[in-house]
Amino acid sequence: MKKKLYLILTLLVILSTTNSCQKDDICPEATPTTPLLIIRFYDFNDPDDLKPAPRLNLIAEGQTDSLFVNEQTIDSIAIPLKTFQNSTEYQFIINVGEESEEEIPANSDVVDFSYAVNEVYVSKACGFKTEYLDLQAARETETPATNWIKNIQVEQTLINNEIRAHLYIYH
Amino acid sequence: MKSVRICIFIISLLFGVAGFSQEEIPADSLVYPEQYGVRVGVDLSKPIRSLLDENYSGFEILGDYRLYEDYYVAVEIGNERFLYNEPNLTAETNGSYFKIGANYNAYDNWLGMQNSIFVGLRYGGASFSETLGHYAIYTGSDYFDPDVKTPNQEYSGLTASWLEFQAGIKVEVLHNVYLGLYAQLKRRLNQQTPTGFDNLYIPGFGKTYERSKFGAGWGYSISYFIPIYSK
Repeated sequence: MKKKLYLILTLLVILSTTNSCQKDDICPEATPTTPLLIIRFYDFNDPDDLKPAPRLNLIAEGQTDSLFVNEQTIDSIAIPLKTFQNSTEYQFIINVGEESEEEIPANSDVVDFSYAVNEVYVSKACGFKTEYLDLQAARETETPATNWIKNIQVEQTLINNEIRAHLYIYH
Repeated sequence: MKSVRICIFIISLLFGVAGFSQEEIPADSLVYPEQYGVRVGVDLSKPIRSLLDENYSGFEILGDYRLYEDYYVAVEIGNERFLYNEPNLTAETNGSYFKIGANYNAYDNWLGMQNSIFVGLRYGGASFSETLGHYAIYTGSDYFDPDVKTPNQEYSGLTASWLEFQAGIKVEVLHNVYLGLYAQLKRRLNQQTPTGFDNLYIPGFGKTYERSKFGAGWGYSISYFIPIYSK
């Protein structure tokens, strides 16, 4: 009995030094964390129809690389907003690297997103996330009028999930 | 070879007989007094963990009082500090706790001995503070640099209470000196969490789990029995 007890005690001492790796320290991918801003592109002339933005690149203010290098034409995107300040400015560039015979030049429009941030505790493993409140979006108007973005419509001012599009861009 | 086998056989017989003779209970009807008193001790697992784990320090004093034959009143009081230390979140909990309840000894002792295989119930309460050291905003995108905040904010006056089931053994290894080994299963009844944050650790209760009121723990103790009266 005593020998067994000593053996168990020894095992417990070893156990106590090796239990530092815990499963709940990994944030599961399915957990909603800071949402991305979901944008859909619609046809300005026919507002019910989706219209892909051809060869779109996005570069945020202060960044040198595009958020994604997209060779396809897509009608919806999900982009991160800066959590450490109340606005994020993006260049929306279409027709990047166009090499067709028509030689359509790239066109860059600047869109400024402004919002309030609200930090929310999620869990031990995921830490905190940010929710965005009172979203507003404005495109800088160019003179002469070469903007490819004709109109921006905010669909949801509170961004706390990624279920539906938050914003529509008409072009 | 054969003689060796015979030799082993005889030795094993001797052991068998020796073992058997130990288990025999004397047939006379000598009245052996049952001792009643207080057993006080410390949890050994907590100081050992304090030495090995730099994110932890704690100690616990425990005691029981033999109330009636197999029933003991049991109390634990302690203090714990735990630092949850992960890249995207650090939070330190610091506080004290008590547990009060009873143990039932399910082990049939030889007369006069108080070894036990016990089960017990406790009500536990803790008072503590939690300091949110730093946190990072978790995003699914790494396009922007990580957003790390270091508020170093202390939330004080936090409380929690729970019910605890214990099971374990206590063995007399020297005269009146007992070594104990036990497991604990706990269910939280109540807790006060910081506004906009959570209790990652509760002294006496241990680690908390997401969306669960349950906790678990274990320990081993050394305690000394102080006889008060016999009957």
